[in-house]
Amino acid sequence: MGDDDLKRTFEKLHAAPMPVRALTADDVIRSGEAVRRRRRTVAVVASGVGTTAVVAAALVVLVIRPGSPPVGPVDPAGPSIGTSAPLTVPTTPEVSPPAVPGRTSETTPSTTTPVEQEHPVNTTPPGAEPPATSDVPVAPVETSPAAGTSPTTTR
Amino acid sequence: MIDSTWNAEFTRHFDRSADSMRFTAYLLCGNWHEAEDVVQAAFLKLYLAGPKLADREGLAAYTRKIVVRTFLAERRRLRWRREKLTDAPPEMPGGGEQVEDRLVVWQAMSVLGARQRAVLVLRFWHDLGVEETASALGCSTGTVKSQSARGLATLRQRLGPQYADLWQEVSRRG
Repeated sequence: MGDDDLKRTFEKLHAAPMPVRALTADDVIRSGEAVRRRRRTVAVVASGVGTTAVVAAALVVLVIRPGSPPVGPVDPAGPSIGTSAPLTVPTTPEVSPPAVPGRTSETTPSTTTPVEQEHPVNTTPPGAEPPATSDVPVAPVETSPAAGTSPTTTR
Repeated sequence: MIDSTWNAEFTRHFDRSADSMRFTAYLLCGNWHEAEDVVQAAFLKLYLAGPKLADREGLAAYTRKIVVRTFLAERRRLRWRREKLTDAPPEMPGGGEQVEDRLVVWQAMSVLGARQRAVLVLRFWHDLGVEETASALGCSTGTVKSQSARGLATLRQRLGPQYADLWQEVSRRG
């Protein structure tokens, strides 16, 4: 079948008698006006319903909400308590420079080495006077808080 | 008044093109009942859209586009609802042999899909080009070409020598 064959077939079909057309322009215009009326009615009703819904929602927000009690306690401003991680203390002992006789540790940086380990335990028997160690005024040793040592004298 | 002006223009356009659109719908649908429904729906859409139309010059082409798209939308809807419309029992118009010709052609055409049929009708009945057909159907020109080739191949396969005999008979009578 070629293109021309199909075209001629359509022409022959067009030439054949057709059933009477029942549709007129007035019918279409009447239907169209009815559709327009219906659409207009639906639009008006939908607009009214929408407006009512918006006004009702606004009333709920403006009138009912302010009278309602607060929902819960107000959180204080500032950082919360007990949520931060505890401070970690360095446990690695730092090596202090060797003690120089006649000098105090005022000029040395903080040390973490316990003083008791540098100087052996006092072996003076109880009741005897301790030997004089130095005529230099005793100054407290600066230690880091990690050492946990009390101020002692050092040479 | 805009409405009265449009009503008069619509009436003139309807009287001028209703029969042509009805036959186009008949070629698309294959039966007069569905064709009447499609044409009525298409002209109703045209009437409602009329006051908003900026270009009233191309009213015929616009009406043809509405008819074809209404037909395609209707077929899509019917495919979902699995309905099959037919006018075979109530309608048997006169003209014996031509009715047989029509039945033979429609048996072949009914095998085609709705879009293939629309392409063939627009291209070979309305003499539209590929671009115009693509614009009317809302698809690409490549789709129009492929649908047209497939539709013709199916018709050739379905009708074959039977169509040649039919065409000789129709030509002898014409």
